[in-house]
Amino acid sequence: MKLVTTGMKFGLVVMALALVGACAQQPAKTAGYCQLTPTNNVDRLFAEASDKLRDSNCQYSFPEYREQLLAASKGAPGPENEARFAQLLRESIDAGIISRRQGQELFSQYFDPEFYSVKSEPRSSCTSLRRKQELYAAMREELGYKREGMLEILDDEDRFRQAQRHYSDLNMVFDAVEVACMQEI
Amino acid sequence: MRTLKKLDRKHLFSLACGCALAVSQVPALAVSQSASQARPKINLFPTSVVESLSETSRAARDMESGMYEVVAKLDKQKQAYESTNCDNSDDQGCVQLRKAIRSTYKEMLEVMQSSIPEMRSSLDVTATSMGGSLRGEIGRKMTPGDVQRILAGRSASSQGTPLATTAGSARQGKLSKMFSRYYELVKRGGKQADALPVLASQIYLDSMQSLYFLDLIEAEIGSQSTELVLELEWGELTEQMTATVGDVKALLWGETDRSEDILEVGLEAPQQQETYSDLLVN
Repeated sequence: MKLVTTGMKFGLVVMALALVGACAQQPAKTAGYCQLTPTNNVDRLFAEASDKLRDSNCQYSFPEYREQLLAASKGAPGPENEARFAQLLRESIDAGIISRRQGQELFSQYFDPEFYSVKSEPRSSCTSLRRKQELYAAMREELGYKREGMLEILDDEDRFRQAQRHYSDLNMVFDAVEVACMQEI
Repeated sequence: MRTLKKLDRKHLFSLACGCALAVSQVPALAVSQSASQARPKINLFPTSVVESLSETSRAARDMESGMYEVVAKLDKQKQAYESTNCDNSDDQGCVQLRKAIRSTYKEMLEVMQSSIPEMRSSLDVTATSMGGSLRGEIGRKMTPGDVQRILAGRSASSQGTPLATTAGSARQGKLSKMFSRYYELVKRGGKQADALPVLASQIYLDSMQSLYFLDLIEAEIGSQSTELVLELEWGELTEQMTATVGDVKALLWGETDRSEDILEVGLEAPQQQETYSDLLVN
């Protein structure tokens, strides 16, 4: 009887130790595991981010990864960065980390010469342009992203110039349409 | 006088844009029809707009031709005045020359003043019809995204032809030069259709602005004419007068030409990004 009691006590102690150990180890492992290894190798960094995002524990780190990858890509600008980002975004969409809409928004803001903020406006021009200043502010902000994406990350001056042309053309047309719509009121 | 200066190239050239479009848009739109099947339908230049632009064009041309002679005369007089060191001189010849310059200057203002009512009337029609067209075709029918699609010309596939340079003679005015450039545009056909909203917007905004300035100028000319009559016999030539003559000369024979900026808008071949079509919003 005494032996049985001693055995049960021993078992409980082992279980308790195991639980304590598990509790002590888990957070430390997760925190370290989700961080990207600092490196100048952009390919490796994208691969690592892609790898980590497959783990559900790290998916909340997507915004940090995005910032880190943007920063790293600026250190090695070139056209290949576009494909790297596209692949990562597709994987993130497939894994349900971000929605397709969010993926398109991110990609368009940085790499599309056209303006996502303009495309996403569903109302007629007369109605939309009642809030022209807000639209212009969004376009200006997006032009900043495009500068980052096209000049600093892709090193594609022509594409950025195209975005700038869109910006100035759209501004001129919107100004005129706004005046024309106001004339009717 | 200051407002007269403000009219300078920008506003008068905008009239030229209007004139030029009258000539260019009908054939340009006709050619563009087939190339723009996939794009939102847009008809910014119906016959009424084209007719009003044509009228504005004619008014601007009349103003231009009416001023050539008087500006050339003024230029000669000013050269003679400067070459004889007449500044601050009481010499009888210099006084006579100053008087002659003022008289010619007054003549120039009168030519402008007589052109203004017709110009204002045709500009008014242009602004009204162009505004109606922009409001109806873009303001109500299209979202901002539709406008962007047209400007981007994503469905256009052919390369733009390099713009042929048109060497004008020394006496060829800017407005006339503009016409020859638009003739080149018409020959190139529908690729320019992508830029029609920009052109229409530019004409509309410039027409509105020009209307505003025409009113100011007319009032200003009235007061200047009175001052000139009073000062015809004495007084130095003012810097304001010299600057105005300079502006008018720049208008008629100047070097800068905004037409190229306008015509080149939207002519670039669109970059195909089919590889990333899933990540781009249409």
